[in-house]
Amino acid sequence: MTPTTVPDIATLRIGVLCGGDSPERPGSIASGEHAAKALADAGLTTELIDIAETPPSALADRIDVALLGLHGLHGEDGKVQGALEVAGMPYTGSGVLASALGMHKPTFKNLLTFAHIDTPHWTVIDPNISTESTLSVVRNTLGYPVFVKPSSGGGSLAAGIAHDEATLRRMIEATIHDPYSEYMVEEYIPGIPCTVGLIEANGRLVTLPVHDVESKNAFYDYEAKHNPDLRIEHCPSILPATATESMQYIARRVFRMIGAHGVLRVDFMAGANGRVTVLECNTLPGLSQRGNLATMAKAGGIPYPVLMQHIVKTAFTKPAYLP
Amino acid sequence: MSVPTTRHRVPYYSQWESRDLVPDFITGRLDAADDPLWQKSGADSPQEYAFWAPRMCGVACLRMALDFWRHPVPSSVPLVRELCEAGAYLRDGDTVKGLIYQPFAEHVSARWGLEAQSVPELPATRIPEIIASGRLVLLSVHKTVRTPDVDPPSRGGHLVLAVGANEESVMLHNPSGLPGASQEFASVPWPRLDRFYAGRGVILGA
Repeated sequence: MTPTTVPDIATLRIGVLCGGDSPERPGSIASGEHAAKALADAGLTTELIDIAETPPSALADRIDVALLGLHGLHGEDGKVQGALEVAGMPYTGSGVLASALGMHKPTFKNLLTFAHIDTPHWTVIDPNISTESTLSVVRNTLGYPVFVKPSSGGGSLAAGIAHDEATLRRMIEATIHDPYSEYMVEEYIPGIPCTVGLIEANGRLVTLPVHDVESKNAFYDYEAKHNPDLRIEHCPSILPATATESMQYIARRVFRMIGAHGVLRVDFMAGANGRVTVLECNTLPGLSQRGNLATMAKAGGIPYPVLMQHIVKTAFTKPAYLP
Repeated sequence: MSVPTTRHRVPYYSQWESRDLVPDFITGRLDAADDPLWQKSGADSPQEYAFWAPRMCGVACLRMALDFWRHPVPSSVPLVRELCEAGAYLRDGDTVKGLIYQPFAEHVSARWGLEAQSVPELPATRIPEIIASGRLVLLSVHKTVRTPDVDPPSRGGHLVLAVGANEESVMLHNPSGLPGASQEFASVPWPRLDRFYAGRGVILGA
């Protein structure tokens, strides 16, 4: 982290950017509303802005800093970050490169593999390759069950388990009509989903306590993520300290590996056999007050309003040039 | 305890340049100054190399870790000099104190940006999980761990790099291991490790 002078955020007009046209729009709006309220309650000048209505290029005279509450395509993938860079608007979190790397799972997983970090085996569903070929790859290299998800989607939207080839065939054929252009098939690891948050606070990177969740659904899907009755959460995690300490280390390593800035959430699966494997990372984790990041921050002694203010400050601690 | 099986593909470095001659060096049949490859160490003279080679177990472990994480790997003697300046080795005439873990760890973090942690109390039960997370561990063991079936007179004093683990054993890269037997991926059963291991080490992560 570069030592930088952070302006007094009480003097700034903070725009909380959310919404957009991503399939994750509802989650983004919830993030934005919670963040905007917390900042306004703290006496800060705050405006909630839906980027579906106000593009980044129109923000210059309206706000001084953009707090990104965006999720998914065209928000978390580096494109909005690039537009804000061009507009000269300070924004929170990672830059273009880290955002893009974190968003595109096959590329991210290639990096993990190169860095000797465990991640479930996978193959990309390439529309130029026949379904039969993809099924053959899965049959011979992954086995069943497998997990199907968008290469660039988040929030477990449009994801699901295939326990057999017939199901997978149906899912592959259905991907043609879905909003995401590319899907992947991943080795399914039964276990406990965990996540680790990292937040820059007062010039240093803080590793938050591990959060784990037991889902009452078959897996920790979109429904379970958004319905508290379908999950049991623990933060700090009840897993052994050796496992949580490993996850915290790996999370920091992922942060450095993709060149993230300010805030990051890394998702893991803790397998019953002791395996700890990285599923994905989120350069713009959900900001809602009951979300994972806020829960981990609270367990780490950072109240929600303070967390939001730390995040705002990350807009001003970037190096002079961030790829 | 469920132990994940892990085996990192860590390149091996001996603390002597001629790894095939290790049996001759450790038995005194050959003086290290006569190592035909001594110049590869970056030493100014065979004598400088011979002084440091028997003491460079920690340096060899660090070189393995640097190679594993794709950092340029310095020659061994210049690396020793660097670590002396960092306070990780204290030389007084012909006596050397070190490797001293804390300054070593601080230098490794500052110089290469690695996560290095001196751990004065490191139970062997923690090692598998640490390795499974992608990290490596310098373990303080007795130097006779190269022949693990023979009981050592004491524990600690020599550094090896733990590069793998499974339910039955730990896998070590031993800088003074015997060629073809105990240099790379030397498997030491957990009960046997307890006889050699001093319960301390340095955890290295990228």
